[in-house]
Amino acid sequence: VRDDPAAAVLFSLYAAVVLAAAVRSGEWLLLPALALPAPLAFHLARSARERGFYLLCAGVPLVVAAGLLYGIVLQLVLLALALHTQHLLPARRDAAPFLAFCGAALLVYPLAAYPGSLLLPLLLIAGGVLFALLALRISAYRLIRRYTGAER
Amino acid sequence: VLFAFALVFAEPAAFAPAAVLALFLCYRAFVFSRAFGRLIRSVAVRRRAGRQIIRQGAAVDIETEIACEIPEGMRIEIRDLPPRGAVVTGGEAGGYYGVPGACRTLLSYRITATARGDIGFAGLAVTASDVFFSDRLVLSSPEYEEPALRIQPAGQFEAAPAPGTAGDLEAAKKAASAGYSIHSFREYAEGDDLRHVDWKLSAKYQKLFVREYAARMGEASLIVVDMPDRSSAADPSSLDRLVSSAGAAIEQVFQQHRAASLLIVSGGNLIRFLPDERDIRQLMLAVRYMQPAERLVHHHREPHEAELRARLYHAEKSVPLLPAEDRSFGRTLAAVYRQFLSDRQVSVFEAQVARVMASLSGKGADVFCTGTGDLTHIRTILHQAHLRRVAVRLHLPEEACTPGMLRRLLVTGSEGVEVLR
Repeated sequence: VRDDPAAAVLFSLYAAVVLAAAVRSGEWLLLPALALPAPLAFHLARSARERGFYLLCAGVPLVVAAGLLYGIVLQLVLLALALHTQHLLPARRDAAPFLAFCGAALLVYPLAAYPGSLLLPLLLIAGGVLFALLALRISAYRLIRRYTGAER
Repeated sequence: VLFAFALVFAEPAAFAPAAVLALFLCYRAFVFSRAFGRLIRSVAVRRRAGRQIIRQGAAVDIETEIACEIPEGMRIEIRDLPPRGAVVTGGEAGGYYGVPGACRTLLSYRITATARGDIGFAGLAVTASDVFFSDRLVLSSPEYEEPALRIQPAGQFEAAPAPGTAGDLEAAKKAASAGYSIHSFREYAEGDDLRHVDWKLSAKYQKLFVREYAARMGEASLIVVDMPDRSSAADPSSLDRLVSSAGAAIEQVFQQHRAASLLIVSGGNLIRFLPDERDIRQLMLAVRYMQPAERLVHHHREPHEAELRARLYHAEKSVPLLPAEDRSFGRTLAAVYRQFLSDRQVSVFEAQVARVMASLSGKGADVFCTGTGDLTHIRTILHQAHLRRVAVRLHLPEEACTPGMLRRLLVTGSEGVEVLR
């Protein structure tokens, strides 16, 4: 991490969010204990190709235990770290899609916090995902038509 | 799993990370789709074919220059797709690239056209992948299909000579391309090198005419290499020995004469003929591309004319010597041979070999073959060489040298056999 400023910044954020969640919930033993596997996985799997996947897996117990809002923020930090391990963390000039994703992810909070069944939020999320997939499919179809001579 | 956990236990804290992961996958799909589109739009292709008018079954060298912009984090594979009905018989028609930024590459490969007519390339296949997704697109719009190749059909049998054109006797006095001055013209025959077509004369008489060149003296001996069929499993070690021995023989001939003639065949298919080649790089390039070939024509124990005549002669001669009850069979057998002989057509391969042998001013030929499968074409080469009084030395891998085969080949007219160990 000493040679990797981006990872240092993200892990500092990770530690701050864990601390805030511990202060808020009073879980001074459980949350710091659950926070350990993710940095450990990051260090131990440093030469593995699936380093990002191991990191996300190791972080799931903490994300669930940290509560709704802190869980979402921690998940975003872990995803940013996973992208960083694959050198896919976007640079400033093309950060717009990543910021849009972070905004959309924060919108999950009011949906999940809404009292009642989780079925409605699930359907809303599934609808959004299907709509996004449809848009991507249309974009791919246009590309295929243009470059396979189907527009002839 | 997280969604199921959240629904079963009504736990919003599990629902949130699951939803975030689903949105994350959508985000990555969007990023990948955008990068893939950018990659596809940046692909530019310039393809060059060694020759655009080629004979069916002949090989042609292709050079494809590809330029593209590789997005960050993406690994791509680009594969040039040969025309439908053509197969890649040498070189690499594709490659993998992963360094982000401008990418410029040159693919050099060789194709053998088995279809006929005007055919364009099938396009360019681009496969891209990042850590999460992969996609493939075949670019086949018109700009990716150029250039079109014109494949001239190659029949199995030689067409009858047209009246008023030069016949075999006259052709036998010429050298195919050894000299520089034109000796005469004759009508185009299947298998002729299209570079020898005289377009001016052809346009005047509305039919194709080829130039025949005057012979040169002191020409080097011919190297003939017979490549195995691509569809049969040839032993790689014997093929390697064959190719390296042929390469060494070419180098030796070239050092002695500053030129060498190379004929590459595969069964009854003429793959390439380099008559009196003075560029060692062309010869070595031909050696580099020597590998099992796609065969258009397959011969199977096809007797040549002299062999049929000998059988007919023996059958007719033996009829009076047979017992009375077997004479009818002997006469029928002789009639069958006579019919075979009268119906026999000269194959394109036989005519091609005859022209090659007629063009030789050298008195020797070295034939390198694996000695597997049907050997009709080798017998054809030996027979044509025998007719032109060209001494032939055979070079065979050790495992192919069975006593029966050696006897058959030596009877056909080989001067000697060298065993390749």
